[in-house]
Amino acid sequence: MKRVLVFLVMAIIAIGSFAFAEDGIYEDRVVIGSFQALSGPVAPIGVSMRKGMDAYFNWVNANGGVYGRKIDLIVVDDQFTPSRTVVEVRRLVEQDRVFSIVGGLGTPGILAVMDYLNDRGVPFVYQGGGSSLFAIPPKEYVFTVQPHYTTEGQIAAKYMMETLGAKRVAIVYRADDAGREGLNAMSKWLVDNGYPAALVAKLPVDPSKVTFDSEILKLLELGVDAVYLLMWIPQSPNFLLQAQEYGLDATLVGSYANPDITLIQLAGQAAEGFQALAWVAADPEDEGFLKHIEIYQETFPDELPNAFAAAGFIAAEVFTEGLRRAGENPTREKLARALETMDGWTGFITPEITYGPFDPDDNFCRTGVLQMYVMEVKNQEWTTLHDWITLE
Amino acid sequence: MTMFLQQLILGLRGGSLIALVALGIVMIFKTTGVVNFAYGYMGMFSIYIAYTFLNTVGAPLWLSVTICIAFAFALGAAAERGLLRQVRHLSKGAMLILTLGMLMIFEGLALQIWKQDYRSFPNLVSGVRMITIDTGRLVIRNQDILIFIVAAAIMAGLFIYFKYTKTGLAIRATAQNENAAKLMGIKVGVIFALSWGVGVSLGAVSAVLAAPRTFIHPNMMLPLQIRGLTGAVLGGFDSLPGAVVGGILLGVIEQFMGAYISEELKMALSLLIILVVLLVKPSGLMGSKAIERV
Repeated sequence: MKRVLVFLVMAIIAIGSFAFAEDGIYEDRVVIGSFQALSGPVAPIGVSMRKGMDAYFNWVNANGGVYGRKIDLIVVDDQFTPSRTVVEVRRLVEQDRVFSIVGGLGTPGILAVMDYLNDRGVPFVYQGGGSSLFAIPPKEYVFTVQPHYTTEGQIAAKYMMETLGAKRVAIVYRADDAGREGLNAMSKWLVDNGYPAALVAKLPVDPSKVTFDSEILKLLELGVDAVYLLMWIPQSPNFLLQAQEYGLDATLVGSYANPDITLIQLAGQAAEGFQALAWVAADPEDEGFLKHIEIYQETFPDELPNAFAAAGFIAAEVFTEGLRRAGENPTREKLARALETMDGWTGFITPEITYGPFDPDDNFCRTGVLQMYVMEVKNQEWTTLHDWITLE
Repeated sequence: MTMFLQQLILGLRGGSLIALVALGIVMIFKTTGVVNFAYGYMGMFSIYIAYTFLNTVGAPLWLSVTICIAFAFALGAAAERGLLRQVRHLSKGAMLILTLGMLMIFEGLALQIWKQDYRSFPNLVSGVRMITIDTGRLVIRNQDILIFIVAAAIMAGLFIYFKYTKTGLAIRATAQNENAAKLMGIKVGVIFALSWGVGVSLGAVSAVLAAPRTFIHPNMMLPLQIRGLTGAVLGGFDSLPGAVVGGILLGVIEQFMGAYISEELKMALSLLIILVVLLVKPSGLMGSKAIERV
């Protein structure tokens, strides 16, 4: 009887300690997960983003990890398909028992798993997508980093009207949630700031569309000064090539996923003079920027990180900083509280990030970057054209 | 009026590309009785050959394109002889599944060899033309004019070939009755391989014409293949002129839907129109009615 009792007590202790141990936290490592499109049409973005994350975590691990724990990243391939994202992320959380999800790619997939992760208290750090729904209303365990299209649409409008001095502007946007969000933000800013008639054309394009003849001919006919191009590679270089063919000379201002070498490779001379909004601190003379290239090349020698690799790198930077702040015995709860202490924190290439204590009415407590600057293609290179623009 | 004409030109351009794809699919279907789901992917694989010759070997554009089309012909003929003929005696279904397998193989191979990056491919001719009419100005790209010319030439060429040459007659005979054709001394195997070769070459031609807009990547031909299949169904799946008419019509309908009704709904609306046409005329615009002995 005594033996049975001892066994029972030991069993209860064992089960208890197992139940109380935090998922994904082990003596020597922290297991985290991410979902990316590693195959299918969006794979060029997913593969690059993964490389950026891998490079940063390899560097952290080679330098002793965080409090002696190595970061072990499991990346699942959801092919940018939300139905797969749901299955894969559940598997990450329930079978692989990851500590946190870091840097998931794709608005549809993120929206499909966001509430699930938040309800289970799994911190979801960095979303590779620009929907404002990630941050507004704020969710306790969802930390956004990239600016959303509501921010970008307003900054684009402000830049075109106040800096470029445009009188007649247009928007060509992807006919999806992201595009419509940018359109609404831009229209609203123009109306609120005394330019109700400036937006002369709103042209939606199917996300898979490859011919923009109708749109460009329309812009030519209307004689616009500047166009906000809310689309990205491969549609944007395609648009530039076609705009050049038809001789459209309005200033084209692209969305923030565009400042990437791939755009110049695909559009060639047609990319000259193309401007795009940017939020990654990518000053080639900055020490942090050079360090990020050095870190990247430790894992991928002779390769230069593209814009999507930089995004992955930033996801890894923000998470690692949060983990460091969470202390020696991290829990999901501690990680969330630690991230909240970020106040104007900057990484090697992460621009200022500020979160705040969770408050369902504070739309800024989970919003990452709120400012953007402008880059331009000059002599087949991306150069900085205009300093950071902030909204009042 | 100017807007209408401009949209019509753009629609005809899009339609010509769809018609070329539809023509290739129907040609293979008509002779061998199988819908080639790998069609677009074989065209995609062939244009990577052109890309490699153009950029890695440094061959001139015309030579790269010629090699690409020749390669596509060989690829089509080899696929028929080496793969499809082996399962021909099993069933049409087996052949269909095989083409699905080929689709995955070509996609996988392209990913392995050339990676998933987008690559650019030049227009065969550059520049735009302005045509002034009473009500305004029309703009046409030279590449679009080339697309019209190539599509029209191929369609006319095929028509003459089928109507007036011996091989053309043999292809038609085989399509009509394989066994009877065999008894008449027609080498049915050669005809099958030839149809696949010509069909896949048409895929390569459409890929060459479309690539400056789609860029080259493993899934570049998927939208065009879907439209090609749709165009073929609209025209009547077993009729070559039907494929041309169906393809061009689909291109024009889509363009007008986008321009006058809704860019966001144009694909759905175009398909709705086709659905209605097929409900009224199930065999397609120019397809023959299926008659079976009871």
